[in-house]
Amino acid sequence: MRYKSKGYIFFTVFNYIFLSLAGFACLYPLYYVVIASFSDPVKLISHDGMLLFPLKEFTLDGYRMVFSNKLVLSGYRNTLIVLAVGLCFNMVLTVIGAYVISLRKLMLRKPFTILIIITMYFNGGMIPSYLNVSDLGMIDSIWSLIIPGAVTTSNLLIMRSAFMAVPESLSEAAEMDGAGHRQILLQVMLPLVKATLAVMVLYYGVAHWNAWFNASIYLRSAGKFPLQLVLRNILIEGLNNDMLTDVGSADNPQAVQLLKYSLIVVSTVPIMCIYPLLQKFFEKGVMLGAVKG
Amino acid sequence: MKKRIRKCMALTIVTGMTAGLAACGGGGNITSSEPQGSTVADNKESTLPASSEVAPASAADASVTYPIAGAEKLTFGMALANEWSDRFDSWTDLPIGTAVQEKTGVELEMIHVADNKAMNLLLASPDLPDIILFNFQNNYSGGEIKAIEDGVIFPMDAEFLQQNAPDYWEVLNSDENIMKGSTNQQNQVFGFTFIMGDDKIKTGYGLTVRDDWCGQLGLDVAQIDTAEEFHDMLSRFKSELNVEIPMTFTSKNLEELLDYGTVTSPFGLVTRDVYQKDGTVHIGYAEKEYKEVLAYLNQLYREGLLDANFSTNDAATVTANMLSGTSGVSTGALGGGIGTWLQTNRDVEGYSLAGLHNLVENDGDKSLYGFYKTDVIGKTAVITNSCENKELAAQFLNYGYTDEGHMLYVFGIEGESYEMVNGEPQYTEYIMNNPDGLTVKKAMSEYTLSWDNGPFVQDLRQKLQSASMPEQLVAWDRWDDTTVEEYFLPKIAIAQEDLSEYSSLRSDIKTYVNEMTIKFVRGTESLDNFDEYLATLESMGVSRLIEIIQTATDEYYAR
Amino acid sequence: MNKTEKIQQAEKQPLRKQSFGIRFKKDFRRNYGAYLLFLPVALYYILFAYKPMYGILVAFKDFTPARGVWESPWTSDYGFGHFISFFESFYFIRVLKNTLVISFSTLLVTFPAPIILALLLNEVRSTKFKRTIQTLSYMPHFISLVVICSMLRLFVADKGIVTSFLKTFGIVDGTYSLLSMESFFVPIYVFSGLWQTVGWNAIIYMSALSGIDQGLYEAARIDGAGKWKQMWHVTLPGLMPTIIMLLILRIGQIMSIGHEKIILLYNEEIYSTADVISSFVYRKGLLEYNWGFSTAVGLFNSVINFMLVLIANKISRKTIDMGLW
Repeated sequence: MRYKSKGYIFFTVFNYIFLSLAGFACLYPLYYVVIASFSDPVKLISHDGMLLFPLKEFTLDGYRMVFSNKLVLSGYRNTLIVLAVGLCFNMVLTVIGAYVISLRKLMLRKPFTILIIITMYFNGGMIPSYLNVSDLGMIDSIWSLIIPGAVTTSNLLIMRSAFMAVPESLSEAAEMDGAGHRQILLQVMLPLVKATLAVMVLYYGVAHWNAWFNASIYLRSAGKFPLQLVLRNILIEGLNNDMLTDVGSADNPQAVQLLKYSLIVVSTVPIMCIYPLLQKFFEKGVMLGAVKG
Repeated sequence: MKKRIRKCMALTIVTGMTAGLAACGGGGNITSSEPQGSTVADNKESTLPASSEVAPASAADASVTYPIAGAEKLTFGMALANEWSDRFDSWTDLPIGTAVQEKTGVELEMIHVADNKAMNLLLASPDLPDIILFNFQNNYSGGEIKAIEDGVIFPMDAEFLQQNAPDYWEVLNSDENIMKGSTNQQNQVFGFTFIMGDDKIKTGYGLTVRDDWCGQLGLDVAQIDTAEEFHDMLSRFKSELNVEIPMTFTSKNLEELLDYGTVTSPFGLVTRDVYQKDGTVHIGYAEKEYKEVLAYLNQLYREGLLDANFSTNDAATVTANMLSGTSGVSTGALGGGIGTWLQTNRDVEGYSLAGLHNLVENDGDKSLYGFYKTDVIGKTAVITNSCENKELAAQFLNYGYTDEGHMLYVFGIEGESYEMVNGEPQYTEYIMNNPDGLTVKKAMSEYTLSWDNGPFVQDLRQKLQSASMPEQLVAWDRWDDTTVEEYFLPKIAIAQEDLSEYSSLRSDIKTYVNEMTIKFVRGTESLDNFDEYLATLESMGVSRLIEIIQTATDEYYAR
Repeated sequence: MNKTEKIQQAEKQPLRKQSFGIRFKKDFRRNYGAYLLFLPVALYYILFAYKPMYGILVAFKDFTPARGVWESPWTSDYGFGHFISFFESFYFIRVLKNTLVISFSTLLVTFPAPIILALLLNEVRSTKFKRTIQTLSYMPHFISLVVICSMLRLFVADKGIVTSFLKTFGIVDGTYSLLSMESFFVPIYVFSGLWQTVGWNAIIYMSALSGIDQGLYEAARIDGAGKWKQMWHVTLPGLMPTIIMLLILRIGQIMSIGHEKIILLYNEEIYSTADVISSFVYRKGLLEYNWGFSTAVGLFNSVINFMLVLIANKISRKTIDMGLW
């Protein structure tokens, strides 16, 4: 039988309470936004304190406003396209890049690594990058959101650590059997770093989901804007009066707030539904992400 | 206007009497109630052959016939506008874009960018569109003049314009300020500018108040013009009508109120911004009187009469406050403020708004300063050095200054966006009361350029119709009751060698002034420290800034 | 030197050091597959990282876009004009101070928190409860910055939920947004950062904890150590390498506060506590189009960061033999 001191029991009770509160604190802001998006905005403004259920009258006006905006829908579509295509590029380049600079016997491994790390700290800045993208004819094309950011150096380094953690004897044995680098990478290494691969997908995926800045520079047609750029234009740059008056805010003077809450829900819920399913992978792989800091 | 007509007369020596007057009508004289449509254009065409006999050789072919025969394609760079970009991908898909191509015979390939930042990046590329429509003045470091220097803009001389853009050339020559506002120190024309066709268009910003509330309190809005009266009105809103936030605004609005001199006159301060007095340049925020203005605002703030959240408010919150009765006073332009609010709340029983006179020292005074625009302002259509057929580009851009082009850019397409009623163009229901629920501005953006800026002369009739509610017209007159012309600084050009010093001084000082202004108003910084504030301004180089502007102003008048 | 010595030396030479060319040839023959594989990646870095890098020159030039980087003239003071005017600028001290204050406060709050969270979670017996809390704690990590900031702005507005919460304790009077008060910016920034990162950053400590040899606990129990002593003498030492490594890496990023969250939150009134180097660069470059100055300030920041990373890497190599390279 295990000995348990009074102090420890007290601690356990405290611990459960504290962690419950912490969990609640993580959840509640988003929950509040969901509730607020269904609540009567006038009542919401005058409501003090905690809110657990939507304030009457229950309303869908916010969502009506959001979905009547053509750009929100096209933004969704564009983000999904960039996400899907972008991830393919990200993964292929990151994996082969990381594999090569993880080869201990490779003479140029160190110079390559250092040259790659330098790019984390120094870059040419916006104008040269823009001109570069422009020279390559990618302006106003979704490729401008995919190719120039195809490799994120910190991710490449995480991937490299994962490869380096695989015992060298495995690849050496494969080499003895006459396997080339391609076979070693595909058949020996990749199955062993599955967890890290999942983390890479997650990191790149989240980055694509959140990105808006490059789109604001490289894209020219509003119909090609990704969701976050559309969101930023509405949420932060200041909702223009038009969007508000278009929906007739006379009977709904706090419609601004309502619209903002609904937009947040619409843009955030999908990823909220997906991430718990990926949890298993990123928990395994994130240890390697430590180098990212 | 008189001066402008005189200039036109002088011009007739070259082009012949009738043609000159006709052009003057198309270019400058817009207040005239005479119908200007097809008759004038016909008139002009018929006189042109006659004029060529008297005119010097260079002006012989100085007419452009539209559509231009055998015109090549031109590329046209322009930022997307929120007003239409949610419904159309390209400007050429809009009725206006289609019509312009058809009328001029020039096929356009649009190069759109998302915003000003993206336009600056586009300007950094070696391969520019043939024509760019952009507000260089505000969004390009150093303005149009620097852009010429940088090799972006192709500068046009008199001969080039006479040859290829005779109508625009006439407009330029109709007024000294228009010419100076469109040229650099070397008298090169930098682009096809947006020109105010009437002094009245230059105004149209001020305080807006709930007229019905004033009525309930027995106040006559027309009589409220001193600082005390304004204060009393706000406090009675609060105490008698239980208004939560008597006056609502954003930090941007506060800058406007101060820079446009809306609330500064009672304290003897012309404006917080740059102004001139007897040829000497001053900057309001570095004047001692500014302290009184701040003290007044701080008093209002302390009494809970001003929006406590103004530094974090956005425009939408202000709109919501004004619409919902949370607030009784705000500030804004003729269309965006009072116009939008009245329009939106038109079905709300008893809701009425009125414009409030700029604050003054004594009852019935004119305010020292007010919102005012230079004759040439906003976006300019420029021909770039990358353009291979500059003559064609000029001929195309000249269209906006012809009578036909004027009507298209200002009113759109007859039968669709406007009808002629008693010889006067009237916007149709599609514009004024859109069946799909589009706002006037959005509907207008499909058919015209006059809702925004562009290469043409803005027409007072456009403004009168888009601001056609009686409340707006009364407000407009009240806001216009100023002596701003006396103090207003024309569109000066900062000397090339001072440019980088000027822009860094101005931006650093402006940042500091805005920050301190908010703090003084909110009382987070005591006004006892005002002298230290002045000393800091001095140490940041405000005297040097004034000196640079003075030099440029002297140069402007000497040019 | 006699003949034999010469021969000996000649024999030694290739053993000691072959010329680079020869060694590389050999290496290439053996690993051409790897080099071939690397080709697209190398191409990517050359094209998208190194090719645009000439743009750094802008920091030393009076840059005008139309002239391009090469044609623009050098600035005064041997090209260091922009740097000097930054150091002499009215705002230099302020943005530097704010950068350091925000950075260190963030470090102070957000660094220990995930460790504590991991330790607490580690003491939970119920797997179901543990998983639920963990899942919830990751949630903020998946919300985009734009959304987080607009949520924050709503929450700390005059009638926002955070403000009314503080109001019940009499900390604020709830008449205006917390973002219009200088003293609240850093706490808002730091604690929202805590909320965003604590769960996610705890993952690494959780996996480090699971890696601690259970035998050590057994031995400690036999020695009569209670729960506290076990935590002190077994758990913490077991976590130490991870903690130190992460700490060093964090120190290497002291100067790099991104501009995005700052500009999404701040306003003119609170520049005195909120304006940092990166937001200053953003305004100068992107809002005022002063590319040269902006690049110079950015370069200054990068150089300091790079030096910090070099130092941190060196230290971490020496102390725990881990590092970026």
